[in-house]
Amino acid sequence: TFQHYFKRINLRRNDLRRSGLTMVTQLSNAEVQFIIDGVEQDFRSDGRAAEDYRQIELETRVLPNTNGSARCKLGKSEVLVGVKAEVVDVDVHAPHIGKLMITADLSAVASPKFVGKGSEALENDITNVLSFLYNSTETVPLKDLCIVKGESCWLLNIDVLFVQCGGNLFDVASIALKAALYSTTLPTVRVSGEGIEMEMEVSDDPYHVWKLDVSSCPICVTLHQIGSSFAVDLSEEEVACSEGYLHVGVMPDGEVSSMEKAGAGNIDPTTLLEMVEVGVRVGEEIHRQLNKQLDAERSLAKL
Amino acid sequence: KQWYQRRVRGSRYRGEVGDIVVGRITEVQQKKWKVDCGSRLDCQLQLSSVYLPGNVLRRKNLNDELMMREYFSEGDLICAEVAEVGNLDGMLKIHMRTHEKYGKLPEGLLIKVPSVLIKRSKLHFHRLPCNATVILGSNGFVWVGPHFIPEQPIEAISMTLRETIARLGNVIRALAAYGVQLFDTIILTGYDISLKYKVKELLKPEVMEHIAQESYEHSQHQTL
Repeated sequence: TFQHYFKRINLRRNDLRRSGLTMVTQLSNAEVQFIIDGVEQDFRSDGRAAEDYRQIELETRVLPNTNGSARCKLGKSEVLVGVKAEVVDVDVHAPHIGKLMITADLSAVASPKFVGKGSEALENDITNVLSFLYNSTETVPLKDLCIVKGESCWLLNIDVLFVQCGGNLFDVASIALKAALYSTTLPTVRVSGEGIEMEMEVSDDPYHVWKLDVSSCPICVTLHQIGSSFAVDLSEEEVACSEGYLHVGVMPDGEVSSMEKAGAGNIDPTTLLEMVEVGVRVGEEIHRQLNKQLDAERSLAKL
Repeated sequence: KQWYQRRVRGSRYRGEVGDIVVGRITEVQQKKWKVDCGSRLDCQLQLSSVYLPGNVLRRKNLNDELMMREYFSEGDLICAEVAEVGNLDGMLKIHMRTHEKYGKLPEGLLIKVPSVLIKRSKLHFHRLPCNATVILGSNGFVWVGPHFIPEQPIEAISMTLRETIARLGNVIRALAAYGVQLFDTIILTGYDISLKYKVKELLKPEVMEHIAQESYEHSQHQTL
């Protein structure tokens, strides 16, 4: 049965090479077998269990000319997120809420593969997954972003820039996104008058600002199927041995905000349910740690 | 006296005759394999310089040429010795001199470290007392795995052996991250120091720094 598996993994290598999801595309059958056996026994090549993440480094307010920003490092992947707000006209179909626009950008610094149009496919994937994550109105309170109902609202332009790619891009981007939104401050707007005489005054005072409520912002947990088992936060060698993978959007209270299956390869239905369960458990723990560290950083700033 | 400075990171491996390297097969060509050793050009492994299954060294015929992919195929990890260094382009020609240690590597872990960190010594193939084998390729490719004899199947890797291999791998990564030169005694020292941590704790930067520092100091005391 391993010979069969090796054939499937070898076919998947072209898919991996094109997608840029991992820089490692060639492994010997012996290495693949070692990695698969490890994951199935819950003891991976670096000693982690299937549910363990690597160390996450996070810093907010790193970009001075944005409303909010964050830099996150997970393993070898490093991502920079900037939030810039602008006042725009409301959407005709949703006149009482604000808007969010997420764009992912893979810098050519991360890999020569990303020069020119080489990064388009992966950028689209990441943009779609992150946008889908924040699709519902229950994640970011978009009502708070409305300035004048039916007229103007805030549009948050969120740019996700990958400076280094070392696996697990979706998860690190979602963590940095939440941290950037946490650090986002928006100027207060004073609205006077009505109808044609309405005047909007955006305050210049740097202390006259308000913060977004990120208590329902989700993060993405990516689980890959390896052999007959699955794992989170894969290194690049492990990704080269995996088949299908699942993105689970987990909110801080344990609710699932979105779910997306990707990759060439199928996932067993019973394994799928287990994956979602583990994804929720891991996601809740990450939210707990993330909130603790973000609050600690904010209290440092106040001092 | 003339001094020269070698860069730790960013410089590629420059082979010398007699070096033992660990490489990955990238292409199967007519009568030779192309091997990636982390140098500027891929190395060449001639069909005439390998032992056939059954430890036979004979003149290879057309049949052997057609069976090349059965022997080593793309992606396989091999351990070999540098036979020649090309004059003009620096392309290495590697060969497998004896059958006891050179050949295809079985299940295990490959770690890439800067090639400068591998000290040139008499022995690169270390059978450690903790049941694991470490091959310190001069090109910076370090392989950690169970004891093995090439061409012979290995037994299933037990949980304790898997832990040992993972622990050695993390220790090597920690030493390499802090620019410590790698050789068997310092790796064993690092392994002993790391025993008080769980294997996955060795991924933390503070722990890595502690292990690298203590191993280095220990090795300095030993030489004095």
